[in-house]
Amino acid sequence: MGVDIEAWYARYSPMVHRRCRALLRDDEEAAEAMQDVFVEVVRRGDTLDVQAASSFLYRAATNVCLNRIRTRKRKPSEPALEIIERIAVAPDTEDRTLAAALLDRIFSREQPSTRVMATLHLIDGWTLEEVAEEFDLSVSGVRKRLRTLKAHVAELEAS
Amino acid sequence: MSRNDYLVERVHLGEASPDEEAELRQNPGLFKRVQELDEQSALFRAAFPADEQLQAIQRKLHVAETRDAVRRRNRTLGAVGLFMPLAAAAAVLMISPELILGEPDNPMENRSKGLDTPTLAIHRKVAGDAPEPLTSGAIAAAGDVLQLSYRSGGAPHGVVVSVDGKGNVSLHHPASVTDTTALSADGFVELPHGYALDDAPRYERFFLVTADTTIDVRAVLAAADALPDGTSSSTPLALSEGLGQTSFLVRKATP
Repeated sequence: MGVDIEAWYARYSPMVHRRCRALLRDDEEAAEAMQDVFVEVVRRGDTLDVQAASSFLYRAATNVCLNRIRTRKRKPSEPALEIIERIAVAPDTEDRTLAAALLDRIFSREQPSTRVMATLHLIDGWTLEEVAEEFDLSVSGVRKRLRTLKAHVAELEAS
Repeated sequence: MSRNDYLVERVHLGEASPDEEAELRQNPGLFKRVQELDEQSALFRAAFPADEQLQAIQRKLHVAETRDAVRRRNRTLGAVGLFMPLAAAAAVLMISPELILGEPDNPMENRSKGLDTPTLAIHRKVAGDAPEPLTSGAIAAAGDVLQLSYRSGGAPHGVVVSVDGKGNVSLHHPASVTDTTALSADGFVELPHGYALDDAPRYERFFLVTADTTIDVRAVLAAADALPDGTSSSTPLALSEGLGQTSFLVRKATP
């Protein structure tokens, strides 16, 4: 028993591709990233919460794209990192204890990615309240987590 | 993609909450965008055919699960204190994923349906190391030697051709236009010879064309030759009815 990947693909692939294209700005690379997202869907199988499929896929697409941006090889002649690239290379700090992390693994709980939150807030323009609602966190909790990325994006955030 | 875009997507999918739907309906501009998504989705589906994308997903899954299995195997070997060279073990496992994934070698089997389809797989040969599995869209360079494999997916006949960025067409299976197009049904089957990439620019795109009966190889070569220049990933071969196809894109590194 598991995910019917063809049905998921038929239903969600356009949305996932649009999300990837918005971040990567390239149709072909967005398609590659979209494929990676659906690979993740298959690998997660029964642990996925199908009640929140679009939400999961949106976050997964954001995360996959950030990983792609982080691993892009930059040429010395290219200008300074854009804000999305700074988020992509920032550490995804989790403010959790080892025991909490272990429990997450046991119960297949997904920890929200700070980098994904930062992308929604700093790139997509979501308010802190909207990010908090999406991730089921308090506004102060989101603010605290984003603080961990602030050093990496501060100068561009101000520009 | 702003939160409004996300909201539009969720409403379009019918997964928004009643409050979100009400919020959207108060904004005629946003509501119009919901309707526009149908058109955008149709354009996406035309540019990226679902069967090709699903096959690419299958290939990537195969690569990912093979890597996982190698890691698990390596951990096990380390735990029992064996001193067998791990690189050699990894090489064996990467060459023969069936050994660790079992037969039939389809990572999606039992977890999804309808994906036991003809598939191309490509590994890059690495001197002194395990072949590197590539995914469609991977970047390779002139001089790289690629090992092509196919899985018939139940198709008794097949032809493998490639087109490079200069429009040059190469035949990989069968060995000549007069040889049999029969495919082996035994999991992933390596073609007998590696293929060295030349300095053609931009890409090399590989096609596996399949059918229930013997295939006219010349017709497939002609279809590959007729692809317009610059077609790197989405345009299928114009083939006669009854022929299936899947493609695998290798992008060329710019010098």
